[in-house]
Amino acid sequence: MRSTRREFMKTAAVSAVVAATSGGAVAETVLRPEPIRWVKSVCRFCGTGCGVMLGVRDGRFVALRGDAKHPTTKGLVCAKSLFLPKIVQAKDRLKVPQIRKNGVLKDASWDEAMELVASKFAESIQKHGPDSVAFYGSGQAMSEESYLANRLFKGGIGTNNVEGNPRLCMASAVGGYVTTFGKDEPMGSYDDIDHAKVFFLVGSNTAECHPVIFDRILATKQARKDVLVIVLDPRRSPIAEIADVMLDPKPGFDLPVFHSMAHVIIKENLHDPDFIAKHCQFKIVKDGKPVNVSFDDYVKFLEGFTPRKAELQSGVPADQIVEAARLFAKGPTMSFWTMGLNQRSRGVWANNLMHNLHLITGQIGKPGMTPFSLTGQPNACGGVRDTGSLCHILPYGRSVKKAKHREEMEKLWGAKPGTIPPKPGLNTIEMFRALARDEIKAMLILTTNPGQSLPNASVYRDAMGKPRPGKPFICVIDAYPTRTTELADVVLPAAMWSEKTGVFGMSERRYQLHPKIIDAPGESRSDFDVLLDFATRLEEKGVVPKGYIGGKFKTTDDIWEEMREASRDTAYDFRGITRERLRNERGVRWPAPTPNHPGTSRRFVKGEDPILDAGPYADNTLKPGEIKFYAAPKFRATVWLRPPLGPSEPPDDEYPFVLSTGRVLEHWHTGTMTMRARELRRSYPECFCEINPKDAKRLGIKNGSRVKITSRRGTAWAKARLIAGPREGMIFVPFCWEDDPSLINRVTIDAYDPGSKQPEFKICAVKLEKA
Amino acid sequence: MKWCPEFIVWALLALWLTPSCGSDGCWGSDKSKASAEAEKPAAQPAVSEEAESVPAEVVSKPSEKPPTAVSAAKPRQEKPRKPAARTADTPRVQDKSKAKRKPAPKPKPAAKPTPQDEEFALNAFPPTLSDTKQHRKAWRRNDCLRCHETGVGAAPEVRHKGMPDLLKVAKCRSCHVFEPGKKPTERKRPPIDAGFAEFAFPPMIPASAEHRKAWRKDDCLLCHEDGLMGAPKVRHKGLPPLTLKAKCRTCHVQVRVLDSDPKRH
Repeated sequence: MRSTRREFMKTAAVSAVVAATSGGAVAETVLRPEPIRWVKSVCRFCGTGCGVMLGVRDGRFVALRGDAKHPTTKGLVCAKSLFLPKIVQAKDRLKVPQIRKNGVLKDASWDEAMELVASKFAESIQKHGPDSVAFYGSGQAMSEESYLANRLFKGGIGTNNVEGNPRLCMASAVGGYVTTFGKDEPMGSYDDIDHAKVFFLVGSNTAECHPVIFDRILATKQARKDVLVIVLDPRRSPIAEIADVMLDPKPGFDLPVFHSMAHVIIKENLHDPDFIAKHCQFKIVKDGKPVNVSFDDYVKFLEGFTPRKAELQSGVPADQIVEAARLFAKGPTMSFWTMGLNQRSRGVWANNLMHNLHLITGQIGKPGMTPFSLTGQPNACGGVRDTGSLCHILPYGRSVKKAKHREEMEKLWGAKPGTIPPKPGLNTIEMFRALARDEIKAMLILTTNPGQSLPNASVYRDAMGKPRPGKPFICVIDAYPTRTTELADVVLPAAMWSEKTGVFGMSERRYQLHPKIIDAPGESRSDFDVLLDFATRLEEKGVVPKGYIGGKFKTTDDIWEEMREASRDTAYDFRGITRERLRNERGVRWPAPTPNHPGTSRRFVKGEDPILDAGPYADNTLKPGEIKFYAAPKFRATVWLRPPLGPSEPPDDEYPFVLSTGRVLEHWHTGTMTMRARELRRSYPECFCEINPKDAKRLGIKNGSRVKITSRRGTAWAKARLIAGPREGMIFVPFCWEDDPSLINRVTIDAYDPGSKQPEFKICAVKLEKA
Repeated sequence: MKWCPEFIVWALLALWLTPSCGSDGCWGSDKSKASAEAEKPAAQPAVSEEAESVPAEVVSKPSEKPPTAVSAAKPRQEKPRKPAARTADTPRVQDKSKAKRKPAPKPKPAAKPTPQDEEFALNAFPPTLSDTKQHRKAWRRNDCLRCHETGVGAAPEVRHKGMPDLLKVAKCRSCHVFEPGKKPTERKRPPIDAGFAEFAFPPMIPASAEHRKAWRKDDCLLCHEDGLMGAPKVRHKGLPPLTLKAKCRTCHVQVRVLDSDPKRH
């Protein structure tokens, strides 16, 4: 702040006069530096949804601290969050729109840039039809923004080519919940942490990727000596430090372990026959179709997975499998998993088998008993999964394939009947493949960095940026320069989360409001404003019906009202989560159909889940505490008999190592934000490759030396870090660094799960050499 | 009714000074600096500054001061010292005692640091170490980076921009000289994180071998709980109790390597 001497003197003189007349109290206030004003908000990083207090002084975001009053995170935050003030105010924030001219991005006015984007989209739609354009969004955009984009593309333009980066991280979890329970999203909540006695952590480096959840688990374990932790992961990540039982299967071969645990549980009569009889059904896929089978068939199927047989398949010692199964059944057990299960070509199946264990032991819907999928982004749940911003779904559990659901949304949106196509759009990988074939002519990318985050990245980087005749038009909306903005034809500067007001929905179904506390730098605008402008221009160009969006919404508050209404009579019903409530409370967990409903800790439980009290799923014959899987066929959750298939690209003689990618605590995803905080960058300034010391010795690789990682798709370089973390024959490389040699996603495989369409980031075959 | 006499003084001062100020005069501008300089006696600032910074024992025993090249080079980065101020028989001590009897003068606004201040490590000789308990301890253990790499305890962070990589890993004693009796400078260097709230960011953890070990074992509290080996004790006042049970790494990040990409500053 710069003030003149004259201004200061005047202030002092005024202060003195005021002091003389008011007793000095006001004058003291005038001369003191402005105190920090603390505003309640939610963290911008992972899906834990930590409550934070943002400190504002003189119109600047000067500090962040944990919100001790937050009901679930209780004031805990991690290092990434603490450095958000620096990240938000990074010097290299994008501040003005840019248009590529003669191969170079040059500053432009908003009007010029928006007109160009709208013209390109309109031209493409008019010439090649609605399916020639696409939207690729993010689990980091606000719920209102994702909902608006979904509304525009599906109900306005008439294409289901709407995708988002949760396809890369959460799609298999969605597939698992939907195929087992009939509806997406966890049924339990963080409250269960306080009641669980056994934590089953699978394919999740909770200590680094969800540190606050890990801290809560750790605190529970420290407070109660009977709390045990089972870890199932081929890499000994920091959570292995607290593991009582550590199962490290060969990468991609954990399905036999799940089946074997089920085998032990049933064989030792540790299962819950009453729960199974009342709430479960058993299915197997034959000739591409699910077929009902009996419990006895399931038991017979499990005979192929005795601990000894599972050991041969997975490499996990039989006695450890038995021990883990016994502990799991003893419970109360809460399971957590993330990308280790999801980013697989059999991700949905792995999720199913996780649910199987909870179902056969009846460990669902009671305190401390729940299968809980953790999410990696702040709004993958609320913003993309719940708002239906993926190519096959519509808001709040609806499907594009169901005529009734399409009609409901067309009516609510005021779209012409028949606008929403009945066929799902292109999933993320197929969308970018279509871009490479120039079939998609224009794409809008919002708040995400596919130029670095997509698997087999070289191919898709070329698809987005390689100059060629008829190259598709790419518009990127982001707050920072990234490996994707460098490929774009138009770059629009976006406001960050603290510069706009909106809702994030985190892992435990809690919707939380983050208010605007500061102005965005330069000419940056919120994604919501940009999308409104874009929609209005498309209306003017005649490719979206006039008045479909333009004039209907002025702020995110307006669209929130429509979103609440869209949840009516669905399993998500959050009509009671009003804007005013969100401003006053520290988030509310849906379902919450009325403004006085406190939110739901456990779904499917009579007395806790309001969906069982009123509406289409109501059942007043149930007693309090009884469970009903109201969204599942015949109200029974499905125990799936899945074959134990391995990864799509197992190691071989030419590529003998398995590469697995992931994160470190201090960096988040592609590092777009965390690399902007000097301290966080210094903590991990360069890419590293974890190698088992036995492998390193065999290859003559020393700690700190450069290694070359090559797959059938590409090459990356990193610094060797010898650590007995990955099992032999496996290496681990985080994907947070953007420089070309470290871009590990040039190496990863873009094969995907046939059910969830989620790519198999976790497993691909590579060879390792000294660089 | 509570009165604030300072404000009355300021108000009177304001009314007296306002007509003489240029309409474009502002804090830190060359013009206002020049006028402020013109208003005070030329030698006074240097004397008063040094009187504050040099302890009486050192003044009375000038021969104990090591004649290092670095101390000889001092004038290049600080204002020239008055030779008279270095001996006991100069009137400076008397001035100091007189000053005690007089009412303390109003502190003037601190001068805006020059770019040279900010880049002192680049443009001048390496700064000498002041004689403090922490510095003596760190000097013996060659443990300067514990504070100066991380910025803990308001220690200026090392900014060795433009230096060869080799120097980043060299011992601090290769270039920096310990100066017995030297008091810490009172000049405020601009903090790297100016503009953010004080203590907004948790201190970083140095890259020393001990810290690396502790990091792997997650036993930071072995030293930091009771102040073992001179480790600063944890002071997590105001944080929820659960935080104390959490892993230190959740909030504190460890320095691995000095910055290699200056473009990202």
